[in-house]
Amino acid sequence: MQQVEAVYQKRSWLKRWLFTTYHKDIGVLYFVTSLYFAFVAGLLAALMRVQLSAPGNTFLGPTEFNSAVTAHGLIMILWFLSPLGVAFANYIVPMQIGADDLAFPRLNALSYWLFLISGMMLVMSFFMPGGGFGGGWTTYAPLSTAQYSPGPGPSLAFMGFILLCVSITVGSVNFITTILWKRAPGMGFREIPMFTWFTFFTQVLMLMAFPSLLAALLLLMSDRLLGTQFFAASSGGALLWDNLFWFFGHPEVYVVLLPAFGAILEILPTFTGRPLAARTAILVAAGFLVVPLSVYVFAHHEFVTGIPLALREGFTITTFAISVPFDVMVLSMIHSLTGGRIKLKTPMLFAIAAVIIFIIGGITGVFLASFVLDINLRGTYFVVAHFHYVMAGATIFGLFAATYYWLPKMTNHMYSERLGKLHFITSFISFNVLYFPMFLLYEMPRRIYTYQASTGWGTLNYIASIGGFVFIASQVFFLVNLLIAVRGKIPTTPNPWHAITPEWVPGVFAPAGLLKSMPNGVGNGNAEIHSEGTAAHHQHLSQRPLALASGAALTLTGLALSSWNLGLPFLGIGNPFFFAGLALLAWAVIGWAHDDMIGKFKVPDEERGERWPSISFPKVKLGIWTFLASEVLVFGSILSSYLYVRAYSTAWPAPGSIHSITIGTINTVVLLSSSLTALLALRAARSGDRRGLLAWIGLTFALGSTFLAVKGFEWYDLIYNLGFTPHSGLPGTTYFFIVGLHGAHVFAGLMVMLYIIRKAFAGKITKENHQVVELFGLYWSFVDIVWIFIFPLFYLM
Amino acid sequence: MNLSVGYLITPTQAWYGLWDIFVYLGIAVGVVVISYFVYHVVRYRSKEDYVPTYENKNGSHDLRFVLVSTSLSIIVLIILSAGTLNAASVTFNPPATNDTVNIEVIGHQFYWQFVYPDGRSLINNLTIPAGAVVILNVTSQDVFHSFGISQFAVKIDAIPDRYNTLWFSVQQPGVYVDAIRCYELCGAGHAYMIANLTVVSQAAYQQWISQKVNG
Ligand SMILES: [Cu+2]
Ligand SMILES: [Cu+2]
Repeated sequence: MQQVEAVYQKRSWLKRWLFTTYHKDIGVLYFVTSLYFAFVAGLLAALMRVQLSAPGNTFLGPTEFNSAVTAHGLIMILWFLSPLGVAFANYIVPMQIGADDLAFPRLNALSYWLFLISGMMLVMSFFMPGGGFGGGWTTYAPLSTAQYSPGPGPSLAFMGFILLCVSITVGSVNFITTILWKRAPGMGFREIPMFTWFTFFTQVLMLMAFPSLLAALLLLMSDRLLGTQFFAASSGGALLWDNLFWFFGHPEVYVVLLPAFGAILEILPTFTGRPLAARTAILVAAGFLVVPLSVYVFAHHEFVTGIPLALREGFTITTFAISVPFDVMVLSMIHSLTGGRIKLKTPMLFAIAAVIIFIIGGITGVFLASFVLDINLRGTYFVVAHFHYVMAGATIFGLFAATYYWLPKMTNHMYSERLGKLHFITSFISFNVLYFPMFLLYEMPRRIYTYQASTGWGTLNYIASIGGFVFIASQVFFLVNLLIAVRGKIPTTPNPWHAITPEWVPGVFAPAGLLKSMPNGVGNGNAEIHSEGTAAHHQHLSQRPLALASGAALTLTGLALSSWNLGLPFLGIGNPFFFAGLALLAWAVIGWAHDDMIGKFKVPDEERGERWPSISFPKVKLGIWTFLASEVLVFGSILSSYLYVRAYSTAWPAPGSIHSITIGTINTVVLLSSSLTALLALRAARSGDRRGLLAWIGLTFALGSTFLAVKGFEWYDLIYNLGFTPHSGLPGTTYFFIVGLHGAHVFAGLMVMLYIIRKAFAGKITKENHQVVELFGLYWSFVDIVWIFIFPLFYLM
Repeated sequence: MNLSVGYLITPTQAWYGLWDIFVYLGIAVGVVVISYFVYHVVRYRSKEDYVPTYENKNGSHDLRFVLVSTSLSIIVLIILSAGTLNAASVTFNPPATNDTVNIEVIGHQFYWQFVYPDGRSLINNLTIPAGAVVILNVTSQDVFHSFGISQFAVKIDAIPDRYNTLWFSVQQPGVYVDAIRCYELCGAGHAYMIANLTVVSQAAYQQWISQKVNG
C-alpha cells in the first residue's frame, strides 16, 4: 500500500481528475457535474417561477421564457436526473457485483466527457447571436427546423444533444457488458442486488430508446445544415418527428425513474430490517416487464394528433397495462414495512417520500392514459404537475435517499442527521406546495410566458412560486450536508446501516485476488485508503477520452456555426473549429489505437466469474454485439423514416431513372465480396498465417475503397451532371442522407482495417491473439447487411 | 334548419362525466394507499438502532398482499377503460343531423383563422349557432399548434398538411371571451394565440350567413 501511495503522490490533482478512468472517480465526476447542471436548470426554473407568479408579468419576454423552458426541461432530464443515476451506477454497481472496474474504463471516461461537454454546448447555445432554442424539450418539427428556428444557437444545442446520445450509447454498452460479464464468482443472476438489476434495466432501455432520438436528430441536423427536407411540412414531417421523438421520449421517463427505484429497493430492507415483500424474482420480473412495455406506450403522447381511433384505444390499454408492474413494485414497497422495525433515518425518509410522490404521480398518470380524458388535460399544467411528480419528484427524492444512503460509503464519514431531516421536511413540503396547485390549473396551457388576470390563475401560480423558492432554498441544507460528509467531521463505521448488499461487505463474493484490488477495501473506514485507487488504476490515466470528446465537440460546434445554407454572417467562422476538431479527433483516435497496440492500457481481467453467455465469450465481443444492437436500431429508425416519408409522397422517380441499376449492382457485388475476403482474412489469422491475413485484409480494404470510390463517382455525376442534390425533394433528401451515413460506416471500417494491417505488420496479430480481426469481421458484416437493405430501397424500388 | 339538438350528449358532458369518475376513484385510491403506507410507517417505527437479522416473519402473507392488491388495481383499471371507451363513443361520433355546421380552423403563428363553407373567414373569433352540432376541421399553416376550448373540454392538434376533426355543441348563447387557446408551444406568440367563442341564436346565425358577402 505504501508503494501505491508513493505512485499516487506523483500525480497532480488536475491530472487525476482529467485523465482518470477509474469508476469511483468517474462516479464522483458524474455526481458533481449533474449537480452543477441541476443548479443551472434550477436557476432557469426560478426565473420562470418569478415570471409566472403574477398575471401579466414582464420580468421575462416570450423569447427568453421559451428558451428557459426548453433548456430547463432538457437539462433537468438529460443532464441532471439521468446522469445522477449514472453517477451511482458508476460508483456502486462494480462494488455490488464484485468487479474492480467497468468492462471498458476508457469508454467510461469517454461517456463522462461527452456528457459534460455536450451539456456545455447546450448552455453555450444560449449565448449565441439570435439566442438558444425555444421550441420546448420535445423539439417538435417543423418549429425546430431552420425555417422557424434559424441561427447557430438551436444548431449548437442540437449538436450537444447528438453528442449526449453518443455518450449514452457508449455508456450503456459499457454497463450492459459490465453487468453481464464482470460479476465475481458466486454472483449469479439470483444474487444480483436490486440496484444493479435496476441499473441494468435502465441501461437496456437507454440502448433501445436513444437510437431513435439520435436518428431523429441526425435527420433534423441534416435538414438544418444540408437543406434536406425530412421534417418539412409537405413530407408529413411533423408527425414523423412525433413518432421518432416519443419512441425515445416515453422510455426516457423510466430511464430517469428506474435507478431511483433500484435505490429505494435497497434502502427499504436496510431500514426495516426485513426482506422486501414479494419475492425478489417478482420485483425483477416487474422491472424487466417495464422495458418492452415502455416502448409500446409511446403513442399516448399523440392522442390528439389525429392518429386512428383504434390506435388511441390500443395505446390507452397498453398505458394502463404498464401501470401494473409499477403497482407490483409500489405495493410491495409499501408492504415491505409490515412487521419490520423501521429506523426513520434520512435515507428512509426520502425513500418513503419518493414512494408517496410516485403514488400521486402514478394515479394522475392514469388520468392522462385515458385518451378521452387526455383531450382536455393535454398541454396543460395538469401534465406539468403529473410529470414533475412522477419523473422529477419520485426520482429526485429517490436519489436524495440514495445519496444519504451511500454517502458514508463514498466519503467514509457521516452526514449530519439533523440537517438531513431538516432537508427532508422542507423539501417534501415545498415540493408539494410547488406542484400540487398545478393539478388544479388544468385549464392553463403549459409553456405560456404569461396569462391575463381575468383567467383567475394568479393565486395558484403565486402559491406554486412560493413553494418553488422554498424548495430551491432548502437545497442549501443538502449542499451543506454534502460538505460536512466530505470534510469528514462526523466519523462512522464501515457499514453504518448494517446493510447486507455486497458494496458494504466487500469480500463476500469477491475472490482473493479481487479483494486486493478493491481500493475501498474490506469494509474499512480508512479515509486515506479510500481516496486512492489501486496500483493498476494509477497507471490507468488516459488523456485519450478527454481529447476524443473535445475533438468531437469542436467538430460538431464548427458544423453548427457554419449554418451555410442560411446565408448568415457566420459562414466561415465555424471552419476553424471544424478543422481543429477533426485534427484533435484524429489525434485522439490514432493515439487510442496506438495505446492499444503497444499494450499501454491493459485492464487485468478477473480470471473467472459469473458470465453471460459463457465464461469463454470474450468481453469485447459482448460489447460489440451490444453496440451493433444499437446501430441496428439507428438504421432501423432511419429506414422506417424513409418508408414513412415515401409512403407520404405520391410521386417517386421510377427505378433506373436516376440511379443506374447496373453500377449499383456491380458496387453491391463489390461490397459483398469484401465480406468473403474478410472471412478469409479471419481464417488466415486463426491459423497464424500472417501473410494470408495481410493479403486478404488488403484485398478487403481494396474492395471497400472501390465501393466508396464508385459511390463518389455516382455522387459527382448526380450532383454536377444530373443536378440531383440533397435539395431535390424527398428522393434527393433520403438518398444522400442514408447512403452517406452508410458510406461513413464503410469509411470507419477502412480505418479499422488500416489499424489491423499496421498491427499485423508489427507481428502483433498471432494465432492466440487475433480478436481484433474477428470483431472487425462482425462489424464489416453488419455494414454489408445494412447495404443489402439500402440497395433495393433506392436502386430497385 | 331543425330545432336544437339539446337532447344529445355532447363531448363536453362526456368528458366531465368521465373526469368525475377518475377524480373520485383517484382520490379514493390515493387516500387509502397513502394512509395505509403512512400508518405502517408510524406503527412499525423503531427508535433504537438495532442490528437487523433480515428474517422474514410474514412469509407468504407478503406475497398474498401484493397479489391481491395488484388484482384490485387491475379491476380499477378495467372500470376506467370501460368508462373511457364509453365516453369515446360520444366524443368521436358526431350525431347525424342536418343541423350541422362545418368550419375549417387554420392555425397560424400566432392567430386562429376560421373559414366558413361560403368562404368567409374570421380571425380569432369563432362564431357558431347555439345547439347545433359544430364540426371543426383543424389544420395549420406553419408549425404544430393545438386547438383547445378548455371550458367545453375539446382539443385537437393543428398540424401542417393534415386535417383533424372534432365536434362539440354549445346550448347557451353568449360571447365566451378568450375561450379558445393554443396548447402546443408554437413560438414567441404562443401565450397570445387566443380567440373568442361567440355562440349566437339559430336565427341570428341564419341571418349572418344569409348576408352573402359579395366579392
Ligand atoms: Cu399555436
Ligand atoms: Cu402555441
